[in-house]
Amino acid sequence: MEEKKFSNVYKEFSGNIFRYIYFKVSDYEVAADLTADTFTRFWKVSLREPIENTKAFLFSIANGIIIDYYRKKKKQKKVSLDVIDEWLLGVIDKNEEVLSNKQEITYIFLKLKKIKKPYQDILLLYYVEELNVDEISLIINKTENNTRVMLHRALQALKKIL
Amino acid sequence: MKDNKIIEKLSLLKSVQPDAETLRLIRKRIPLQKPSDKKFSFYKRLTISPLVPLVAIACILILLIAIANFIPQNHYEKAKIAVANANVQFAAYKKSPTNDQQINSLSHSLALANIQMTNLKLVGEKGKYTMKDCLSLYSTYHASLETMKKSVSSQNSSKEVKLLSEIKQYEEQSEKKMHKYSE
Repeated sequence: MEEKKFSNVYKEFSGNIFRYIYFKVSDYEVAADLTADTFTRFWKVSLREPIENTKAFLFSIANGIIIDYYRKKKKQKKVSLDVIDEWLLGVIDKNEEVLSNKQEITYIFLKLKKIKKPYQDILLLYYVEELNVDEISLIINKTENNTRVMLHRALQALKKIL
Repeated sequence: MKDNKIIEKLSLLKSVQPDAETLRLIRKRIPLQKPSDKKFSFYKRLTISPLVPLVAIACILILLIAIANFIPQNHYEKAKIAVANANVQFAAYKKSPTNDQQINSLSHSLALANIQMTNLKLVGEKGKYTMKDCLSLYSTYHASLETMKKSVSSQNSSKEVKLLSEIKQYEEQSEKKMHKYSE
């Protein structure tokens, strides 16, 4: 892949990847690092082989990087994820359109954190990042039917605690 | 709460977007390095691919085995070849006994045969040659030396005189060793 093409990919998907990672790790600095790692890995792979579904592939890399991050973090101290990072509050406060929904956004964000991690992933990928079931099944390495069932269960799990 | 309502709430998360500055800073952290186009040196190839050194070692082993097959495996084989060579040189000498070069060649081949015969162990070597093989070779060698002694004239030149004394010396040595069999 050429640098110019990579720049276009970065422009198109970096916001989504950062947001997805941020919702998973709840830390601005960590999310920035992991986003950079995701695109670095994407660049290296793109030099070796052609990539069919760029968006799905990027989220798949991001997922792997998040898993690695938690694996390393487990060995270190545990940090509660039930807090809203300053960055998120800052983003909401700066944006007038979002500001009116500030309470609802923080509420749904914190509730989302309460359900199982695989359920969080699938809800974020489907309803926030707008990937289709086919793409999600590739990312989470499940069949399309299993992904549909999982999506339904994830929604029910969130419904229970709202 | 209805599913639609939950989906609506989840969709609110879409509005959370990092600003352009954040994305620009992240972009700076991505090193876009292309693999070097420089040709690898042989040493680098050896260190990068684990298969290359293995293949290289295998090739060297095959080469060594091939070479080893052409080299006599033990003293007996070497001695046998040296004696045969001395006989060939002797045959050549007989055709032109006055030729100095032929005398020299015979002298060298006899010296070599003598060295190889001296290296032979009378009791044989396990898996290589037996005492019987050794004795048979010594008999052949001794017989050849006797024939040579009779054929080489001591009146033609000083080189022949020298050759004759060498033959006699070797014959004595082989006789001594042959005697050990009868002891």
